[in-house]
Amino acid sequence: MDGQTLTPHSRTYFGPRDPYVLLVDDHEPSVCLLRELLSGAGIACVSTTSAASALAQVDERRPWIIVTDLSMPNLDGRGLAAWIKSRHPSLPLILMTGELLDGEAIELLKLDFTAVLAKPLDLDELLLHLDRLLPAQPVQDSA
Amino acid sequence: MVEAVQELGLAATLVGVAVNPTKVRALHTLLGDYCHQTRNLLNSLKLALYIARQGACPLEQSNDWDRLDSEYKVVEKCVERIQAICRPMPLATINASLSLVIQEQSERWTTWLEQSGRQLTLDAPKEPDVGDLDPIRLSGALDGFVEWRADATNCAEPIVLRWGKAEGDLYFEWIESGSLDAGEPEPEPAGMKALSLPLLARVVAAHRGRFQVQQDVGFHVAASWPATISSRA
Repeated sequence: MDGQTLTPHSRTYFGPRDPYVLLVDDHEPSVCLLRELLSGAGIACVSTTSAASALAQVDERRPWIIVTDLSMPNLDGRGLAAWIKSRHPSLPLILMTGELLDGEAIELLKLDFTAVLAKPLDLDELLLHLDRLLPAQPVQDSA
Repeated sequence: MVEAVQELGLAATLVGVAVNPTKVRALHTLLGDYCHQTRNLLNSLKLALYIARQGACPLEQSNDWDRLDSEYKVVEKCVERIQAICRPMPLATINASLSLVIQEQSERWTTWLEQSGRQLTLDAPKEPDVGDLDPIRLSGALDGFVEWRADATNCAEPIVLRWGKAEGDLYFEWIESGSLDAGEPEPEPAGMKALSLPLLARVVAAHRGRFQVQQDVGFHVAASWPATISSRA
């Protein structure tokens, strides 16, 4: 599993038991840059540009956190959240969105998402949420 | 009723849209997809700037980063202001004195104008001016408007801000007398701070009010709204 390439994006090398963050955004430049930034901050990441690929990744290995865009073709962020909640109810989801949403819409989204972040992202805010949700100690590799 | 001032270009055109709920909804729909794409592009630009900063050496960071960050923020603010004009605007109204709202900010406004070599005269009412208003939206919109005028105005006469309550309406007027010069070019993209004008118009319209802009001689904004309004715009 280590060093495998998840089509179409490569993942940061990390151990088979290390917690990782799954990034989902159909805007490829954004998701690649975000993966690079979080990797630079020492956070293992896998990125993908569709909710369908994200579901396949979750099936393969459960992420610790999912950070997803809202508006994506076919299955959007809400649909992804519904699927994830049905299978992994305790898996935290963070939503990113560039849409014009009013307060009521954001409050509704917060029922399914741990945090709702507006684009352009405030990286410090995202890191704060991830720091809070990721385990304090790396998971020990039993191998 | 709005008298748009052509010389104000985009800002004046948007005033006519901002005070019309039907046009605001249409603009919201039209801009929706555009703003979504723009925010995605801004997002990738911002993330790229973070990476550039990570990779820059300490000597480069202070110069190039500050410049890039500053220019990026200008673009982001421009998009924010355009979106703010057509975003849904529910009001959280309270029954309060308009004087309190204005006087809370007036010291800052006076300072801004003084820094531009202008004088602000506050013409406060002598009678109580209590009515329904959303203090957060109103003070925020007035802040942006005054910040713009501090940069844009070249009025030699003292600027007058007058407000009060008359015939059941709360009102305020901004009066720049004398001939109006175009003033110094703004350091940021043209029309960016000027978007505070349609945003102020939008806030007044959300209060079920009227908003007028005149530039016959000088620059004059007049706004009024019923002292008793529903809390939902």
